[in-house]
Amino acid sequence: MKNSMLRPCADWVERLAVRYPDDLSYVERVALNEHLASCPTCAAIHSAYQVMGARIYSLPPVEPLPALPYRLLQREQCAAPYVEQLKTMSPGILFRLKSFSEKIVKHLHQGMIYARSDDHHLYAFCNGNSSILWKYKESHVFFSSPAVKNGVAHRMFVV
Amino acid sequence: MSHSARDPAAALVLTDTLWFVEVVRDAQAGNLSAFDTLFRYYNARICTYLTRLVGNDEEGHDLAQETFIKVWRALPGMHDESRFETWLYRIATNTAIDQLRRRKFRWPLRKNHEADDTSERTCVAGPEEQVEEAELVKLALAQLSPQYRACLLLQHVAGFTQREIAQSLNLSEKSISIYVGRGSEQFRQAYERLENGLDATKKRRLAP
Repeated sequence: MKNSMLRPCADWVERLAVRYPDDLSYVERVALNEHLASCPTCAAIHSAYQVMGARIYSLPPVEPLPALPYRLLQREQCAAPYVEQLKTMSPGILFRLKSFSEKIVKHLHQGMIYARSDDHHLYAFCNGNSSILWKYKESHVFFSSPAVKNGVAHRMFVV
Repeated sequence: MSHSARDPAAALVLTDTLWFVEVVRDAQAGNLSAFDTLFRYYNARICTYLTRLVGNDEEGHDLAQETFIKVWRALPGMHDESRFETWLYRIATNTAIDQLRRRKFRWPLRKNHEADDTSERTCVAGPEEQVEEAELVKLALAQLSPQYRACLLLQHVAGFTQREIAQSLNLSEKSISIYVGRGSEQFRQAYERLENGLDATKKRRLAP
């Protein structure tokens, strides 16, 4: 006999579909177990959900992609000549960048310079061709304008 | 004493996690080899997830490739390396949902058509029960809205808790709880309707 005509109790419909222990607190889980012990309809639906979940999980795996599109990714990387851009920065700015961390990893991608150390995050966003907005841990630390010409930083004014 | 110091298994997990965070950081810094490690780790899972989400093998693979390219582009801006997995699935989900919106999929039309076809095919050809069950699961999934489908796939295929699903879809845990509950109930009813229809078709075929 199929259970499609069964309807779960409205108050429990969300909790019947949980799958992992972390999805419910201890108190919620105890309450759910008590409800399942007293409500055969919800118990049947809860059981059906477990079976359905197992069926979704057991769907045959899909063939993976053969490889990363390396050429495409390398082209993306080459499109951002971050080394050249960093060379054009004033020594003061580079010093300021370095002062935030012992080891800075630099990456520029699509107009964004990314600098990071183990415990510091510093971002520089290229805003079109007119300015650069610097962010440090979500807080703007300084703003420069006009600092960019043809996507290359020439001068930086710390505010 | 830390938890990991008492429990060797937990220490191993921590080591793995630290190693994983290092790989993510290297990839963030533009290391293509590190990104390839991440790709190999998630390739099959993302392909499976996206294929199930859009209901089409070829499109699933195209979306998976698009997802990895987007991830490579966006990696430098990712804030929390330990949440790479949920972040990756968020990009994959958004990529798939954008695609579904762009192409204006008409799941109901497609699914009804396919449901009838499948019933006919399975009865005539007599396929194995497992294949039949997998087809029913795919058809039942196709009857859900993309968001409900994403929630169920993240729960059962990616193995995410509701909190992780919430992080992946950028929604509140309360919303995810509702989506998973409703999605599970809709899926159960859809599956059983399809199964009943298949049984009825079989009985008609067997009747003299």
